[in-house]
Amino acid sequence: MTKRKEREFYEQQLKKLVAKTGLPLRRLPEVLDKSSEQILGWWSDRLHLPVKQEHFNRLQGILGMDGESLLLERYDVDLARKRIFEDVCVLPERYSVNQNSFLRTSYHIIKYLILTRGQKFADDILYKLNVSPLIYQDLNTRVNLNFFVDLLDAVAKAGLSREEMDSLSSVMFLTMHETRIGQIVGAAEDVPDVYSLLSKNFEFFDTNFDYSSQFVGKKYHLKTVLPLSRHKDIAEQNESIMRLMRYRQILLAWFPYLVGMNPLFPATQFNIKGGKLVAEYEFNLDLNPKPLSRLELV
Amino acid sequence: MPSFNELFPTRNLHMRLLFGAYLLRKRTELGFTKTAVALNCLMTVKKYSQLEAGATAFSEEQFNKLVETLDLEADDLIELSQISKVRVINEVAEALCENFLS
Repeated sequence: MTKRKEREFYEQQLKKLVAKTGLPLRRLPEVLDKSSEQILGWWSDRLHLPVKQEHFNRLQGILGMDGESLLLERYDVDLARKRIFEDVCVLPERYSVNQNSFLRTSYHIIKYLILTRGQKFADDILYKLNVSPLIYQDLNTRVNLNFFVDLLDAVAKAGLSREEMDSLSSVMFLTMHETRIGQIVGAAEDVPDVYSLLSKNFEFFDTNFDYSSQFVGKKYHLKTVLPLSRHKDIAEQNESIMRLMRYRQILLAWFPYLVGMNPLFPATQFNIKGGKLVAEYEFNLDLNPKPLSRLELV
Repeated sequence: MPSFNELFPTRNLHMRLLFGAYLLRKRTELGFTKTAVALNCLMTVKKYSQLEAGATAFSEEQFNKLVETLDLEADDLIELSQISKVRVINEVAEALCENFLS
C-alpha cells in the first residue's frame, strides 16, 4: 500500500467509525490533537488530517475497545454506542450472561500486571477483551467465567511465563484475609479445619462450579463440576480449560496459607463428560504442611 | 524502605526476574535509556541489561543507586518480595505434587 493510500485508508476508517457509532465530532480534537475547526474541515472533506494507528489507540479510552479492532471494523457497533452515550463500563454480551463472579476475583491479576509491566500494559490487555480498564473502579461488578478465562488467555498471550501464570493464582492469597471467605477460613485451627470450613462456605469462594466434598481417613476429596451448557465458549477451548484448571489446582492448594501454613497441593484429575467439566482433587492431609517460615509478611 | 537484606534475603532467580521486570517498567515509564540508567548507577550497560533480564545478582550499593535513579517504591518492592516467595513455593510444589496439571 502506498503512503497516500495508507493515509486515505486511515482517514476513511475513522470517518466510518464516526458515522457508524455516532461518535460526536467534539470528541475528536482530543483524539487527533487538532482544533474543532480543523476537525469540521476534515469531516466535510475540505482538508486531510494525518490519521494513524495511534489515533485509533487513543479511541480505546473512549470506547473501551482494542485500537486495532476499531481500525479494522472488528467491533460491536451497539456496544460502542452504549459506551459513548451511556457508560464506558458497559460490558460486552460475552461477559454479561451468567454473571456468577465478581471482578474482585481477578483484581489481583491486574495488580500484578501493573506492578511488573505498568498501567498501560494492563490497560491494553483489558482493551483486547473489549473492556474499559475503568470497570475495576467497582470491584463488585459482576462478570461471568468467560471474562476470567479470556483474561488468563490474554495474559498468557501477552508473554507471561508459566511460573508467572502459576503465581497469579497464589498472589490472591496475599490479600485474601480481607474477604469474607478469607475471614471464614482464616479462623481455622489446622489444615483439615481449613478444608472443612471451605467445604461449608463454597458460595463465598465461587458459584460457577458445583462443589461436593468428603473426608475419607486422612484424605480430603473434592469434586467440582462445571456445566458446560452454560459455558459453551469455554467448552471449545482446550488450552483455555487446561489453563483454568491449573489455575484452580494451585488456588485450592493455597487455602492453608490463610492460617499461616504452607500450601497443600492436591493430586488432580479432570475430564469432560456428559457436557460437564469434572475435576477431582485429593488432598493428603497426612502430609501435614509446615508453618510458613518463609512467607511471613515483610 | 525496608533494608536490602529484608527485601532480598535470597536473591534467587524468581526475585531477580521480578525485580528485572519492575526495573524495565520503571525505566520505560520515566523514558530513560538503559545507557542513562547504567551511567547514573555507575555500572556498565551490559550489567544493567542483565539486571533487567533477571540474569545477574546485584549488590546493596547497586540497589540503592537504582532506587534513587528509577524512583523505586517501597510498597512495590515489598510486594515483589512476597510474590517471589510465592513462586518458590509453587516451584517446589510442582516438583513434589502428584498429578500437577501441565
